[in-house]
Amino acid sequence: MTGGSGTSTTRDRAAIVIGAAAIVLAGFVFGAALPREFRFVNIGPVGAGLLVAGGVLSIASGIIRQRMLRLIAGALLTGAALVQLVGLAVSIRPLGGDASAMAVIGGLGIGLLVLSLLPSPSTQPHDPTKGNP
Amino acid sequence: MSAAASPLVDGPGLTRASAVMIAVLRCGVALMWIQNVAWKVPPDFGRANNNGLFFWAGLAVEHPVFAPYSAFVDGVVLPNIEVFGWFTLLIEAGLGAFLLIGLATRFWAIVGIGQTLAITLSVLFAPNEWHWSYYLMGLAHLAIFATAAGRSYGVDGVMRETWSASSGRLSRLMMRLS
Repeated sequence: MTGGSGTSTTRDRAAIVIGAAAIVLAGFVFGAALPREFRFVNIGPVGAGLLVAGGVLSIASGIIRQRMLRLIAGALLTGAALVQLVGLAVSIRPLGGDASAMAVIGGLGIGLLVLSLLPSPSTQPHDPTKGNP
Repeated sequence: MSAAASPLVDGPGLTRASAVMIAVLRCGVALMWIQNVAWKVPPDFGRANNNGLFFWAGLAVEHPVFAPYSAFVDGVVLPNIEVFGWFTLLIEAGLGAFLLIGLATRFWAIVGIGQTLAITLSVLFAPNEWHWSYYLMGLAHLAIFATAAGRSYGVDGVMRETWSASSGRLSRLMMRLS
């Protein structure tokens, strides 16, 4: 569970945004009806279902500030992307669709894992210019 | 200069509208890569039917832009398309995935410029290609790098506070890559 710091709140909001994005992108399961130019992601029902499940978990984790829930959502999506990657190598598409489904699901999963796994910062004030090249 | 646009933006001086537009640019470019990784199909990447990545890589030989690159494609890439196809798939999937969430965004912007260069050298002189497509692809990645686009509604923007507060190697690296 996250603490009550401002940063935790920011991560919770980010988890809600990523969760909402996952649910929106799951809509591409109906993408066959779209013109090719707008078919950005090719995804099957299994992949879309995982995106919705991960998205709901991620949104819930942001609302109730449960870091573990965010971690589960991230692990679920990242694991699914890895399964699709292995599937592509042996010409099986476990999530339906193709490598575009792997990229979307993997990206969102990695984002959630990063938001979950790294420790919260100390109380020192953040300098936005620190580390700028 | 105004304060940061939102808790999800790590950019003092950016208005909310500017931050949203930068995020739209980043996500739009991510979707371009995501859509185009779809036709990189293992295991032979189109060799059997002379289509897909094998066909498009072959255009570098049929319509050379830069002779040494064409020779490299002809002698190394096409005979080993099963290997280079995987490189391409993983690079483009990574571009789509990481630009979509805005993680290590400046690093991936540089990768995007490199991949755009490879594509440009392959197909710039191919028939029916609009050369500005490739120039614009490069310029879009330049804009993503210049604006550090992951700091606007991206994971970079959320995590830089954590990375900044840490003295660890990985955190320092992520500060530079974001």
